[in-house]
Amino acid sequence: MPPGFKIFDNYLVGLPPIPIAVDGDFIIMPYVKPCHGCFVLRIPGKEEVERMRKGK
Amino acid sequence: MKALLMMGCPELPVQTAAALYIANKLNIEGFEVVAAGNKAAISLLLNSDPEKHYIKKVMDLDRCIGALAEKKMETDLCFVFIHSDSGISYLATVKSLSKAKTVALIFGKEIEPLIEASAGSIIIAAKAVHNPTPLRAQIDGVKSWAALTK
Repeated sequence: MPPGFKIFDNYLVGLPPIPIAVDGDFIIMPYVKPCHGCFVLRIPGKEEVERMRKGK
Repeated sequence: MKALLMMGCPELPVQTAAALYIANKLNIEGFEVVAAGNKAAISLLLNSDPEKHYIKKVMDLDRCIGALAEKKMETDLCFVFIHSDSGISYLATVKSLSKAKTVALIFGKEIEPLIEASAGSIIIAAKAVHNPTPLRAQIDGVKSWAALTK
């Protein structure tokens, strides 16, 4: 996904392309915090999975 | 002309001093300056410049990324303050979302990897943590920021 893609009401930050994985109804994604660096999160989000697959 | 100062965690004391110093130079050149940062970074700026002589407008960093992504905001020049990997991520994001000329303002103890990762941007870099003088000297090396937008 490109930087700036909106997911879970947040805009992706990072070097493009930003890797995002789908595991069932979960999304695995990087999340950058200015103070603490990059975290990898696994978040339930069936609707977001469907929206992401459509690229919207 | 518009200039955006994009600041991350104010963990290193030189960040606030450098932001105010650059904002002053940009104001003199006629730029409309917006400072974006997390809550702590903005709070430090506003407390250092209570009458807003240097920083006229501030915004939250996440809102700023959102505004750039949704094309509700554009700038001519964007300074990204970098002292860690996070700064590199924000620099790459701005380069992807905006047509602005990007300036990587790099400081801290280990600046070499950050300089390498900032290729493609104008680089202003100095080993500086508490003392802003080395960084200020690099900033002073640019005689006109407006010229970079042309």
